[in-house]
Amino acid sequence: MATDHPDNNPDPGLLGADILSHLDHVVDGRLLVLQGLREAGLETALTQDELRACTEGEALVHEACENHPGLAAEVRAVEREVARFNEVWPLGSVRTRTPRVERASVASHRRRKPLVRWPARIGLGLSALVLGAIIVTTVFDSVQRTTVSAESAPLVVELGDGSTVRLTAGSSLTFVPGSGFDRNVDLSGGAYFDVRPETRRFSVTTSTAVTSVLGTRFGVVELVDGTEVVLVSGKVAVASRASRESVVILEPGERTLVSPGRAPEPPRPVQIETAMPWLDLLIFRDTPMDQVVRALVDSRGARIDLGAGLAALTVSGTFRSDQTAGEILAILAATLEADLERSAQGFTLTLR
Amino acid sequence: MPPSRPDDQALAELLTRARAGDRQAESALMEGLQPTVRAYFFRRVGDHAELDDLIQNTLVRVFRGIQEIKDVERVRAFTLKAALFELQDLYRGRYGSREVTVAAELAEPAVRPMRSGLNLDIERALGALTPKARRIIELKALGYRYEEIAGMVETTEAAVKMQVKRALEKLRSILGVLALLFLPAKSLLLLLRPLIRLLF
Repeated sequence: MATDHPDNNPDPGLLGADILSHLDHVVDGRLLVLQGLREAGLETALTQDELRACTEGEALVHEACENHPGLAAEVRAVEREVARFNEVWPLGSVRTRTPRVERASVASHRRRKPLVRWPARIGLGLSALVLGAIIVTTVFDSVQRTTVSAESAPLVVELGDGSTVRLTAGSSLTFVPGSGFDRNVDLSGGAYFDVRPETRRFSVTTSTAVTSVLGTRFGVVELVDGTEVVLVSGKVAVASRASRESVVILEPGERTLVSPGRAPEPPRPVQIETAMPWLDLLIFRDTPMDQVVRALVDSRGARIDLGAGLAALTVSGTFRSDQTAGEILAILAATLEADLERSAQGFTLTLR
Repeated sequence: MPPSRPDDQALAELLTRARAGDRQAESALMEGLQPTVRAYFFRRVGDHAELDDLIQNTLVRVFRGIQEIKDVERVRAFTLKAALFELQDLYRGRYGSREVTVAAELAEPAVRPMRSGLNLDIERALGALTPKARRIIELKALGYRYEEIAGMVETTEAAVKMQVKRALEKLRSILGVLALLFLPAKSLLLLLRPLIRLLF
């Protein structure tokens, strides 16, 4: 990207790569292109699977575009690309007769880098794919699923698609490792999922429930009375393993419980900050600062004073349990453009 | 209405034969599409080192989806979609770093410290920018050229460059503070590398 453009000064460099990585994590770029094509009136460009993915990912794309004006601009840019493509479209010509071997041969001498023998190339490529698929399927059927367990401490596992799973102590996760990862995992215990957005569905199966998403953040835990799912962002579908026909859709800040052999309970709103006490994370989602402070006081025992105008400001973020109140407040102060004072009595945050 | 090709009838016949598995029709179809795809990419990125790969990968995408291309209108739409996917990959730096990408895909799942802190930092740091500055810096990170960004936000190229410079300074300032406080040593070194290069 950066090296492709001659006018790349100043160079965003590492920071640009971090921002790109972050934006990629927010939403799959393919979904933006598909959405842009739809908005440009070219729904015919989408396959049935893509149409379904677009519909299911609509809320995610909408949220991503609202929060990231660059992503919104990328969706809108598709319309201009459609016009550009239409300008060149009549230039091409299609031969009505089957190309003769001697003509193709002459043409290949004239070209700098010929793009001929498509059937042979593509045929070989597809053969390799089919062969690869057979081998991969065979291997997967026999040995390839891996189980990772968190013994006495939480464990973060990175999956082949870039999604991360934070396993709580005593939990285990079974999945296909590496590039063959099929976005299907089996969970025993509890875990917090940060799923990389893609057009492929990501599924978490527990003893009683199947949770399906495209890309989002949510917690799943097996309790005595069933599997509880709490959604932090995006959208998830939760079904009972006993009957996949009973599905509930969760919105951010909602939870459901799937008891053995029963349909999922209707979604119920919860406070994200307190809804997953089994998780060693502190999660805020558009949480007013006075609630953040209350959570820090409760969990860290710190004394915190908020200056004028700060209590109503909202923040979103995820913090580890080993981060101190001072560390978390320093991050919040930097992003809210507030000053943080430390004293023997505690902390004071004031707007600059 | 998009312009129609002069020989849609011929295209329709080729498409029907190609979808039925006629190899010669497939070849003719792909070779027929190639000049259009080349013209599009040439207009978009010029005589780029990856031009041939862009064209080839686009046509492979079209071929793979040929069973979904049920009429002539969809040939244009599917070709455009395939070209946009490839262009997005080019802009996002996935052409030059293909070997790295493949290596990463083949890697075993890594157990590593949680990165949510860094993601949060970037999200928060971006949130500190004005909406316009944020749009510009995000578009730059997505691989768009200054000239293109200027067109997208209706300003001058010079203004975009200035905004990018200021936004980067502000982001580095915020992230620098956070890095000094919390990031592991390796990440800290990565952030400081440009400064070290300048000094030495």
